[in-house]
Amino acid sequence: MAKPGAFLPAVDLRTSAVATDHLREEQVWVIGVRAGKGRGKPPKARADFTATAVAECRLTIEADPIPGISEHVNLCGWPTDKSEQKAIAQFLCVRSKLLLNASPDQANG
Amino acid sequence: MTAFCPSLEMFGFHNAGVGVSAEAGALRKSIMQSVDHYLEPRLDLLMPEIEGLGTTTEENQVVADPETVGAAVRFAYCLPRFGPLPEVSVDPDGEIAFDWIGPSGGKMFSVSVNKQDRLAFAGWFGEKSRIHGIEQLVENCPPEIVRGIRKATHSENGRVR
Repeated sequence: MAKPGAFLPAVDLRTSAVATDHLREEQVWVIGVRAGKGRGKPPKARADFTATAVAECRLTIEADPIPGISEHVNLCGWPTDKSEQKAIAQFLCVRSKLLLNASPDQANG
Repeated sequence: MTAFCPSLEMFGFHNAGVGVSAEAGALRKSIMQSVDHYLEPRLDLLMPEIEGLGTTTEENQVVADPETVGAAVRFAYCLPRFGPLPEVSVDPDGEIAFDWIGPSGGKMFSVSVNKQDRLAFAGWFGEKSRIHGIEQLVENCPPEIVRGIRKATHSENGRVR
């Protein structure tokens, strides 16, 4: 299971995510490598969740293409109350599926 | 000879009433020393984890400021002495989170601490059993948080993971 903290918003009340509906599996991992360039290493895992789960939390998905990641989106509409944010993050965590990177040592992308 | 029956209150560090023998007092002291001995390793494991959140080894990693680390340390000292140690991490907003995951992974409880000793907690114990709220850390761990930790870490048969 993914960690709920991974879903929490930043101080701007937005959570960064990637829309993967029309992507092949390997394309998703390539995007993960690009997104993690600042960390200097590829992602070990990712958490997949549906737009339905986001809507159940009363959050919205806003397109936010960035250089190299045209599929980048933000989850918006977070409450300002931190405990409510944590409750939503736990909900998304339960609704998500954790997928491990089968080739974490590859840094293609 | 005095028969001594340890009670749960003792492990909560409450003083027993009057009327106990010297032998009972010595035995209680010995038990208290044992409990302290057990407690110290727990904090020895947790403190470096918390203090390490104030430094970074990765680019773009969120780092907790010293005031938030101090608040997290104060909270750690108030944690109940039962159950597994929490996982600690830094939230995207810089607060420090303490996470407990249940035995089967289906329950979780989390507390985020900020520099003002504000405790924001949330618990998932099932589809129809969730809690969240705000507490202020004063002296002891707020009862609501103790209950949340217990509820998340105890298995269906009441045993601790």
